[in-house]
Amino acid sequence: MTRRLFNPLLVVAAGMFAAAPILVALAPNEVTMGLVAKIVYFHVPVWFMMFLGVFICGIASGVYLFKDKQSADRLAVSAAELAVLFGLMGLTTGPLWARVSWGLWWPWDVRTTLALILELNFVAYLLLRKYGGPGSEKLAAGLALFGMFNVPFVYVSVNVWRTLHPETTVVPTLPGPMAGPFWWCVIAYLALFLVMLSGRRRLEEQRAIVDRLRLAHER
Amino acid sequence: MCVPIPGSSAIAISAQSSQPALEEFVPIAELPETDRLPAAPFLVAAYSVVWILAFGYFWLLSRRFSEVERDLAELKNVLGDDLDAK
Repeated sequence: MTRRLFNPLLVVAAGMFAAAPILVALAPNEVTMGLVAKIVYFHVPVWFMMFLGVFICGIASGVYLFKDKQSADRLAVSAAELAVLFGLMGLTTGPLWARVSWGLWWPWDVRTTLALILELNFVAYLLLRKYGGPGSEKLAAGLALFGMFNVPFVYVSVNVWRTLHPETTVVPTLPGPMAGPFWWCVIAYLALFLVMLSGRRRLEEQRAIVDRLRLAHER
Repeated sequence: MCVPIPGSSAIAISAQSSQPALEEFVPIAELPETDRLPAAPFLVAAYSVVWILAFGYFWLLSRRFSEVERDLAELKNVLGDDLDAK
């Protein structure tokens, strides 16, 4: 994303993000779960963004592994950090919803367990990048590919196995008054994700320049 | 010294089993008041967590940018001095 798009996108993201609570407040309550079901307007979009971060990290890691492109590696580490951030948002909003709806904080069912494992996978990626030493970039890239291939299992788990978690048919069948705020929040989170990714990637580029200058100085 | 009363555990178990267990999903509106948790605090907590994490990440990012820009400025000064010396 070019620098020219960054500022307009930041304004759009901030505006949409600020308007989201108003739209959510005006949306009707869900029939069986009541007020607490409004967590869906944040909980589901953050998991969409987590999956997006995982896919970007995985694909960029693949490009880095097979084509040795440093720019792909910088994109991968940026996306991994965002995947962990949005995953953390999902893993905190989910139990808050579950406590009221299901009566327990964490059910250890298939969906929640696989989602936790996916999050830990990318926490491991970041730890490997930070503390793994020389050559850890390639190792971490392999880990990112493994994480990316887990996403379909996380997504379809609710349809294949018996679980407390709602199935994937819920979002496509949301009624109009709920679908509008929901998709608004998805687009707001997408704009926020792109702004964060752009900023984080720029940070990696600056760090790469600092490293090159340090090497030139040492010579 | 504690002496277990014979059959006490059997009495406790039979008391528990006299209440039928919930076997299917019950909408919140049909649950008795004592079994319901207030939704608003959890809703507010969930939104707060998301906002705090998002703003926290922006703050962290800006701090890291400041560090990198400081390192960049120092290196440019040092390299500039080296070039002048040569």
